[in-house]
Amino acid sequence: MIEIDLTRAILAFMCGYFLTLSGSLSQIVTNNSLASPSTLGFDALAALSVIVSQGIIVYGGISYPLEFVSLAIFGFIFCGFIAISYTKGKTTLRYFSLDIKFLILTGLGFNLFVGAIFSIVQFLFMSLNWEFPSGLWFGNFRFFHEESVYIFGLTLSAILFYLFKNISQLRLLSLGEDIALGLGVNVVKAQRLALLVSLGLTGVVISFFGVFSFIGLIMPHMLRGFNFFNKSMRHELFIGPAVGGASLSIIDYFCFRFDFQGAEFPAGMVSSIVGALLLIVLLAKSQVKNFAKD
Amino acid sequence: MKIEIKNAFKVNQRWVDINLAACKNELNFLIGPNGVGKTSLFTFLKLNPSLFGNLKPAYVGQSRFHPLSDLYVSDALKVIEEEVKGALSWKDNTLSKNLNLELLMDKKVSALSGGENQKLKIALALMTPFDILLLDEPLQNLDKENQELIISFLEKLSQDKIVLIIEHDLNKYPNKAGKINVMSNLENRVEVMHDRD
Repeated sequence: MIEIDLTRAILAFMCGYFLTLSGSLSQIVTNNSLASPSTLGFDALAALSVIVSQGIIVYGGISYPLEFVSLAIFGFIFCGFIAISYTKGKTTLRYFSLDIKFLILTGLGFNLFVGAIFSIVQFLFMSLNWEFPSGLWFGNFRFFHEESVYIFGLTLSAILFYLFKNISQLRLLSLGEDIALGLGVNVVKAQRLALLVSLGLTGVVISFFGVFSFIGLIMPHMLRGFNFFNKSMRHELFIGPAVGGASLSIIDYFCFRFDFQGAEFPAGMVSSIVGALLLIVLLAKSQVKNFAKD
Repeated sequence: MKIEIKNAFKVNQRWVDINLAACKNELNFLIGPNGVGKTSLFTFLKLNPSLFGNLKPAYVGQSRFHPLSDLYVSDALKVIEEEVKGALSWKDNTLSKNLNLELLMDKKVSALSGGENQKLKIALALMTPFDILLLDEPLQNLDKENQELIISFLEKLSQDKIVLIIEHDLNKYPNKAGKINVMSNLENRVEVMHDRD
């Protein structure tokens, strides 16, 4: 008999859904199949908000759960990004207020920076005997609040509304920003919105469950290996994330079922290992020439 | 068609003044030295389609058509048909047929040669209703045969639509009877001026 924690399975599904969609959107914006929330620094930003939240909880003596404080901090940063992008990001001859390559390099640099901060903060927390979210970098679904389902459900509704409203623009943008601009797409607005959505989805997942590396990078890439998804961006954006969600749910199920000396493997660890191996395979199949060309 | 704007945008910290003209029945050109800002002007015009008044513009850019997904040519054309209001099927466009696209339908966009990719870019532009077609160096990286095909195609197109070509080498074009707009660096600014009315 298969034992399933339904709430946990649903949450894992929605996390996989959000991360896959986040990856697809970041790849559409950059027109680069190796872009992902990680390479754009979104993972690192969300992780930073978790670290800051833990500091606020411990130092400030706040009794709210970490994930909700983290979501609030991240939400504050997110609103800041919205404000900056709409006031500072006026239309320029570069389509977008930032060069995409610069964005990726900044994201990678920011990842390294947050990694260093994480190590320093971990050292300080341990020295002060404060509780530290050490499982942050390998997300897992072992502990969660039932209210999370409502937040994720609300996010899912918002995302589906966004997709239905913007699917045409996203399909045209996936042909390349040059073509999209020539066809009358407001490329600046479409790219900005897609990046904000990608950032928001990543932030929600990491605030609650930690980092699940490579899902946002690998899943969209793998989906496009199948004609059903490759032929139609609609399929990739609506149905593809469900495949990502199911994958993470299955990974988490096996992590739940098989423990090691009483300890459960974090699903994020498994996704990192599997994702890294798949990335090597994909790179070896010359997919990197798109990145090199760009 | 005429576009006249002072201080339209900046290139290398210098304002660009535009006095651009183009007409039907002939090929029109925008020429200028490398780095003067011709492609930036092209982008500026793309971002401000209202400058063309009642005329609807369509564009063929310089960079290779490179969709995110590894699409077949037929699928790429289908995206335009399905997502752009008023888009025509390429089969309904007599001019598109001159581009011999049927031969490319089962090829992946990534497998197209430079000439084939250019033909596809032009076909994509032709699928939406337009009055003026702007092309940024359409003969770049093409062999002589494809250059002649594209030039012949554009000359036919110009009978019905306004065609404006950004080029830095007019010697490739046998017929230069249309407006020639010159983009040049002045002391403190950049100027685009058409040479004759």
